[in-house]
Amino acid sequence: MIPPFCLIFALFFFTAGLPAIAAPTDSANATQEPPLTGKQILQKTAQSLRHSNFQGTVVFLRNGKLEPMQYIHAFNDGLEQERLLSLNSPLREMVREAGKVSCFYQKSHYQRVEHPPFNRSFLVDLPADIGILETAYAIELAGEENIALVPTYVIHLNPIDKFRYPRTFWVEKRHFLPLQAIVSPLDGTAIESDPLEQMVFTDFSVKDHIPFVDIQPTQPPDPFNQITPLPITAANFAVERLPLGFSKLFFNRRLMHNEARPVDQMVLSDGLAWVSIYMEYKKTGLAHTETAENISIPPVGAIHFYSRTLGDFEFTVMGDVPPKTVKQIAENIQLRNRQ
Amino acid sequence: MNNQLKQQLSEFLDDQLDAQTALNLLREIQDDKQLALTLNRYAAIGHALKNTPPIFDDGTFLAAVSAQIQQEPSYLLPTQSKQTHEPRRYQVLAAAASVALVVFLGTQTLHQPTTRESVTNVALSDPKHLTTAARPNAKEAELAPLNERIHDYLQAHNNGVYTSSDPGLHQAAKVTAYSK
Repeated sequence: MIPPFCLIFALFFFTAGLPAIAAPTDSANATQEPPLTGKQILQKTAQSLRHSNFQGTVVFLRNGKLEPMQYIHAFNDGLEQERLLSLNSPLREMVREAGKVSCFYQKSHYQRVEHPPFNRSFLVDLPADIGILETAYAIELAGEENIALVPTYVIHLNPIDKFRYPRTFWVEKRHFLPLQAIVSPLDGTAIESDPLEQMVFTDFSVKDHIPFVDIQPTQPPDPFNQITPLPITAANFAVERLPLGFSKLFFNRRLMHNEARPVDQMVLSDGLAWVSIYMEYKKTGLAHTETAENISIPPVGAIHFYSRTLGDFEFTVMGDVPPKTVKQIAENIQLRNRQ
Repeated sequence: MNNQLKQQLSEFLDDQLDAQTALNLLREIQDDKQLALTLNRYAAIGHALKNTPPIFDDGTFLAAVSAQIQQEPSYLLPTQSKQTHEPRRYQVLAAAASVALVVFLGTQTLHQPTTRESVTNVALSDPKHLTTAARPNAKEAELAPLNERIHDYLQAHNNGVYTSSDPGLHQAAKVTAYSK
């Protein structure tokens, strides 16, 4: 019996004959062109994420759970389509395309369709203009490492305060695609060993062309998934003294939890971290946890929650930010007098 | 791909293949990209589904393998001539690296702080908390509305809920469908 590690190394050497992992000309080019900055690399990444045809196996680590999925990104005629196929139960396929996210469950044949206000990638969220990140993050090219044997740039985004988490991207050097991304805890220690969230490709390939998959609705639109965008000023609440870099991006009113009265949602972002503020009527006749005042719900991965009641309403602030951020935002909410 | 090859891949990953067969299999992997992809996929699926320490649960050994990978990538770089044959194709099929990565991630999963695991248990993971029926005790009844609400908030907030294998999240999706 061959020891396992011998087989692993043997496999490495046998796979050496496979097609390109890195272009041999990269180093030559590097001597002729000025080195890229972290910001420039991220800018190229943001564009490449939208305009490339690529696929592979991606593993998400969220909330302590590992989720391997098949990933396909297609770009044709100025439009993009992103697909994820789960490898674990419940077997499902998610498709994101212009203004729509569909999730089809294989076993139940249930299809859920959402119309999110933003085209946010399943992989990582990067703004189209990386420059807006510099208000709240220091973008640093920290070095170069290999991910799945592919040379990558390592980009640190170090927050300038404690209202957001550090993030690190490993960007493949040839096509500027993110092969790994992590959200680190605030203490900044053990960045790679204990991330709050992680996304990493275990294999991937770039294609000249990937056809779109035609998604046909299997059921009529669900009114509970319909979103009505409204101006920010339509909100019956105001939130001031936002942490640096955060701005109000979106407000909508929608039905939730199979209830008749709508829920208001305001979305804030600093370009990387996203925070939602939900406002809904307090309920009566439910357990006390439903209307608890100033409660802090345990986090889910990097996402923290903070709820408080104000008048007849209950507010919940949530986002991939530290607890103090959601708390500060929640405590600076005020009801508007609409008389 | 025939069943015998699939069987051999499975046995290879379980470290149950004899030396000669393993070497023969590796030679086939060298010539067959599809076979390499399949091995890679089997490894990822296997470790994720087992949800247990995979083939190599010795952290020291994993660290050594990872370090070796970092130190010796240049041995694996393709030649110039092969580049010219396929300038665009950019296959990354280092199955062993993938195995190591998945194993590494799996190990990380096992080392997650218990506070995060308790989040799953309390807030989201139990499907019973998310359905409107079958709440066997008062505590669950108290948690249910809150969890349902948080689930809906999460789903409206981002796409992360779809990429989670947490059964509670998807149970809620089915409840939504049936209740219409």
